[in-house]
Amino acid sequence: MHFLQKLTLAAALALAASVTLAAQPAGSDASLPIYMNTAYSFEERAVDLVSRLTLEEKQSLLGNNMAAVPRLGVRNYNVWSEALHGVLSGANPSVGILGPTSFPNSVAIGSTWDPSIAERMASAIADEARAIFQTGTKGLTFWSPVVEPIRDPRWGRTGESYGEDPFLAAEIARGFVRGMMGADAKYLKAVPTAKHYFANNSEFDRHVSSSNMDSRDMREFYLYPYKRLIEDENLPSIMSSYNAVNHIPTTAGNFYIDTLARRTYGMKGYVTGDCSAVQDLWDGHYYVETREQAAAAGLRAGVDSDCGNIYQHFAISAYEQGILPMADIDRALVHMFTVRMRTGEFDPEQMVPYTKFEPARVSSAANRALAAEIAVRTPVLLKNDGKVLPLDPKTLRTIALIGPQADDVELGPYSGRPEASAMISPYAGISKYLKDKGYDVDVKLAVGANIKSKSNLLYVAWFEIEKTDGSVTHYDATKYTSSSEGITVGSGMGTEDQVRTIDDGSWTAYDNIDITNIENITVGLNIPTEGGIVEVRVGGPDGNLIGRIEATRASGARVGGVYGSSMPMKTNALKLGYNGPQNVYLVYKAPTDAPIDEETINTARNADVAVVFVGTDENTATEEADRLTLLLPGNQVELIKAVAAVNPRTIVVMQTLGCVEVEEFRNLIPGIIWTGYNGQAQGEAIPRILFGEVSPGGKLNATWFKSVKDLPAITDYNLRRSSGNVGRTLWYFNREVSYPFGYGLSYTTFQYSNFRISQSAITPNDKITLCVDVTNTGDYSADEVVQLYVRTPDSPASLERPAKRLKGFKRVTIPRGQTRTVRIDVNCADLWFWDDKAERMTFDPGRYVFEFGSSSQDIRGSVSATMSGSLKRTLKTVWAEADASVLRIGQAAKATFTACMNDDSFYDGAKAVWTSNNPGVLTVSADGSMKAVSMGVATVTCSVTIDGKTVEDSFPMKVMPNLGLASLKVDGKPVKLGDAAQYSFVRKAGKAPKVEAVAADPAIAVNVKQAGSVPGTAVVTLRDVQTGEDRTLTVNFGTKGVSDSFQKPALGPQWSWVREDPSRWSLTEKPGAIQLTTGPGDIAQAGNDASNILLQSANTDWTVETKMVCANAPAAPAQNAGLVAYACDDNFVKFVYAATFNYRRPADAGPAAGQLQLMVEENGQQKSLTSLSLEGVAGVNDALWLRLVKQGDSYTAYYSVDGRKFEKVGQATAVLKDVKVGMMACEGAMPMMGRNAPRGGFQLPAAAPLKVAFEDFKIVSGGVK
Amino acid sequence: MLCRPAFWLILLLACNLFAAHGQENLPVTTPKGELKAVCESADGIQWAVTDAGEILRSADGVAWTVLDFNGQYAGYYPKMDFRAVAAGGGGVMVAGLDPDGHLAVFTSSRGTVWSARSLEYSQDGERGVLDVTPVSLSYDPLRDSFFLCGSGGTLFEMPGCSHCNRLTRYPADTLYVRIQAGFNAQLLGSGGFVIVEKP
Repeated sequence: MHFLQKLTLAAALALAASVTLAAQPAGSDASLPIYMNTAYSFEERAVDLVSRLTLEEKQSLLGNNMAAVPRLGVRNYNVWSEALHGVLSGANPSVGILGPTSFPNSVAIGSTWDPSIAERMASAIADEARAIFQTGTKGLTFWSPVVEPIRDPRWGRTGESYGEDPFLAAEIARGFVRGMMGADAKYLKAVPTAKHYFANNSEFDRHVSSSNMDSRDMREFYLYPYKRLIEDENLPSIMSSYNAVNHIPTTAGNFYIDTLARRTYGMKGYVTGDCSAVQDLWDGHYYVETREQAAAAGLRAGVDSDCGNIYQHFAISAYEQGILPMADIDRALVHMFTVRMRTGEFDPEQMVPYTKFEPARVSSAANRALAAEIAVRTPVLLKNDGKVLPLDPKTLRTIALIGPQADDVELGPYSGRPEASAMISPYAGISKYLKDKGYDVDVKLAVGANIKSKSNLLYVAWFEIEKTDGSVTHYDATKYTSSSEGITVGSGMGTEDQVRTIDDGSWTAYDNIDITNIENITVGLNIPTEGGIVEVRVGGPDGNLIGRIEATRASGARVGGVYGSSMPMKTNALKLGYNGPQNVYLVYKAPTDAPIDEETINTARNADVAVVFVGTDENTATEEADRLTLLLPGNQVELIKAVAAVNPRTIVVMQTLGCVEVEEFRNLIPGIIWTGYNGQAQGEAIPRILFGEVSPGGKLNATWFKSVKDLPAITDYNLRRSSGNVGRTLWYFNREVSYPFGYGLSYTTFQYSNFRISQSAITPNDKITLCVDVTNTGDYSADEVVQLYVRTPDSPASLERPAKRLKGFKRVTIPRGQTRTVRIDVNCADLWFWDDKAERMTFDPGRYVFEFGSSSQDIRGSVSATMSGSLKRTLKTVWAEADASVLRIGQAAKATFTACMNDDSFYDGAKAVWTSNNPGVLTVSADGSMKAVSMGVATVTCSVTIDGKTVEDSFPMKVMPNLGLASLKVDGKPVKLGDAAQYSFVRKAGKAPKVEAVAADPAIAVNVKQAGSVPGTAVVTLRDVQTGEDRTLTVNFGTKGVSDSFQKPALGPQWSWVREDPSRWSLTEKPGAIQLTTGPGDIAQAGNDASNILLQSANTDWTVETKMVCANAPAAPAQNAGLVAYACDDNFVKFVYAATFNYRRPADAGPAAGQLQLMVEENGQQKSLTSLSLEGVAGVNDALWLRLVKQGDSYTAYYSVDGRKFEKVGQATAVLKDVKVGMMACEGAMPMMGRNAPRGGFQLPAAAPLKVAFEDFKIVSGGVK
Repeated sequence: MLCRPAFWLILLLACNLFAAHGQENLPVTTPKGELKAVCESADGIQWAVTDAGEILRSADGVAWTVLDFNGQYAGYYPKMDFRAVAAGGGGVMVAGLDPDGHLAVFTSSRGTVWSARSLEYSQDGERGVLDVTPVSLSYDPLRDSFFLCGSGGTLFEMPGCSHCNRLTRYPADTLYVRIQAGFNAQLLGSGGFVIVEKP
């Protein structure tokens, strides 16, 4: 702040613009700072901007609320926005923005099997996003789409996923990503982020769990969509997930983010952590011990932005602790600003094609029409017995619309708030449709049932027993003695552990609860969705009832939601005369549903047709809450059965997040239509389907299992069949299902014929075309989705290949009576499997059977080809980077690269050709060594050629002014400059010499604080006024040291004590030595309480040596004694003989051999520690000679066992002012472990104090000549 | 935290006079606005805010630095009339009203660079943006969250994740303050409203 006050902002901006470049791009405007100059690449501009930031500015930009930096013209920016099926926002009348269009949700988009629909939808969403962005209320980075394949239908976020098969999920996602990014060659319309990378496929434990799998499942299933999006669409962003994979949190997974996403697949862009995922490294997975370590782990792994506050609060302290290099911070910010620049944020409006999006784009008529168009293409016809559908309105007098979704618009998860006028329920839509078409049909409405979830009822944290005497005993509900199956404990996004995954009938039991004279029972609980009943029973889940709490939304209890914490609910206890400790049970029940009312039954009975609208909503399952059951929630199944019993023409329309169990009712009704959450126009679409204006053309995007009992544990991420696992998805599940993957009927019929393949002998290097003729043999023009599955029957059974995989599909519109030839191209290279031993792709030789199907089980015909040969390995991805993004003039750095082949294996031994586009700024030599020459930016390119194919990669570098000195004078005499940060001079005590300093670069400000006297230290500070970065040099003036052989009965005047304890030192106990006895304390870390530190002034260079004899070896846990170069308790260099104690692993716990330690502490933080074990070298009563040599800021430690031959222990660097040197002996401090430990050590009692005799103290002083 | 502006202003002026005489290189300035709230973080740093958009910081309660938030961020953030401040968990948070009377909240780690805090929340499936008059801010180390109390009986929890905000409304016209008492929290509001929230 002091130096900034000396410069005006205008001067700073002038400096920002006046960058002297060795070469500038043609046509560039030199008056603009580089980061605003469009003649430079986005990457060069980003690194220039990052180089200008202060440390606190950098920290403030590492979170998703990126701060404004007015002095650089950087506006604030919220990285988080969502656009899964519409911008997650509402109307903003103050800026003329209507509620954004809400399109069908992902599960519905997946059922269209049409990537072009996803692309058109995403393009419309991006248009609305741009219009909203213009108002300054939201950013352009959107954390959509969800690309995890649906591994398990219970997953709470199934509604956000495109499908079960990774190929389907990838193809639909590709359309979405293309639509979001737009077609401009330079600028991005919006920035999609694929998530959640990866294997976040269960919600209830995702903050603490590990998704464990082998590398085959990892590569073939979980990573496949990301690979396709990055390689084929240049996906600019991914989000790291909460969970660990194989016990390494993805957010700290260098292999997952750096090796796979970047170096293997080639992702250029930014990585965000899921919200609080970085924090989960610390208090979820306990992967690190401090929040600083969490910041360091995330940034080192390559997570550039933290949706949380760990980076924004602890990155600086991590850097100051030396565990987070500035290069990692800079790299993250370069990624963030590059992507912001790619949106055109820093460019003149006229250059960016997306800046003219007026507010009227939002919820425009065109987008509403698109939402309606897509809503018609999503429905899947599951059953149509007797051609009950389509309905003919001419034959209807009355139509009954029944069910909780009949007059409701359920949008599903991650939905914005569209205009009310755009939200059309089925009742409204059907009524309008019939009226507009002129049909005189009486439309009757009856709700008849509820959609209240009967699972995931409650989260329970604690309970209290209050007695008649007013005493209250509090119990932690998560510490149950036993429970019913499926109960878990977790805190989700909160900090409070709760009993979770509570289903109807679940219970938790607590032994030895004293309920004598019980008066009241209070339970601390949260209602995540609908709630339930808590029964307090004694002796068993069916034991005597002593209390009941109705914790339901319907009863008016406060709903906390999935993120909520507990609130108390109390009930009077039934006094049944129990005395003493009892086994108390909390039994959880779903509210009982009322019977289906007669009015609803009569409405159904009296109608010509009854259409029952049922489904799920966000209370059924959502983020943080998996489904525990696959049944329709509430009493909807009872409603269907009741209606079917009175009306044979009952049609069920289900709108759900995915698979539901249908076996209980599907044989009772002739017609079933399913959609995923179908957007704001769902009511407009359904009549067009019901009445045959459009034939349903959707197909299921996932397998519909008969029962949840068919599924393995949701925590089991293995796909293949093994003991206890029936196998997952269409790839491996081998039991009967209700509806297979890809299933969907039509109002018409299709005949497949003339199956052909372009070649019957294939290699992995071929691209083939498969064709089939599809004839519409029915009465309606309709869409058909031709699906192409691949089997490899010749693969060895031991490899357990999938039963079949989807490898192509096409949705075609075929008018009635006509034939279309459907062509599907297949790249044989995409037929790979993963060889987990060779760690690369592999291709099984033999037959590949390509099946054309109307579903995965309705195969209409097939063709075969024989695969032979191997994939021609070609270079695919080169990844180049340096160990720094910003250098100062004169500094060097090293560039490295990796080369990945098209089989996803790495090539060892590739040669790179390195070039710099601006060698006047930065040079790079053949081995990647870089040297910063002058101020400016440069792009370093790495070019690799393997077998004739060349692939390049590049990265930007910025060179900043030198923070060095041009000259340094002491009393007018020039000092020869070196690399050291400290210069020492021997002078007589008294007035201090005058120090003068001149910076090497005029952009650097210099301040000299003179020494007060000799001994004393002058401090020279060089400061980059743009970034605030400074460098400190010290000039020490000291007097000659005085050696001491401790022969006299008193200490010489050169000595002084820090915290003298006369009872613990003696010159007489061992004549010819000063003997120190260890006392409690240390100066390491925050202890700062060691006594008897004996020091003399030594503010010069010197060599100090002492002979030390210990009465015993230093004892556990941390006794130590030796030499110390001391500025203060928080700034010193210690060279000691110390005990060591293994505390990390219980098996190793206990004392270990003594060791020599060279430790540096700067500003209270341990900066470095070098240790050398003395096992077998020194023992009881053996003398040790310790020598410590100071030269400038360098301290080198040596030891000897005979006083003649010295061995080097290590070297450390420290800049100490007003240095003293001497000896100390103390009990020492052991570092506290654990995330809640304060900084600093704690004391454990040692066996006995250690007596240490220092027989000699020799000092030879020196300094700059 | 409710303040006594006159007392604090006099104290601040006295501290500034002492600092001006006794120490060098300290940017001591008298704030222009009226002090509205003061707090101290666990590591002993004191913070205060004024209705002129100033944020004051002191490590010792004697020497204060004044950040002119409205001046520094003119054109980037709205001009603020700050009403509340709290510190903890490695950060500091301020809340106030913009010239149109809308709520805005900002956070910082060390007090010189400030980020806007999202006020979006989700309740019963509905999404909204909080817009109340702030009365106080507090930090709960057990939950690692900041809490804002304000008009409409508002208690707004802001954890580290910026879009995981949680809104609770209590039956009081104004919720004044949330006071940590061990694991429990006491909420005080207008009309004598008092409630103890257990974790």
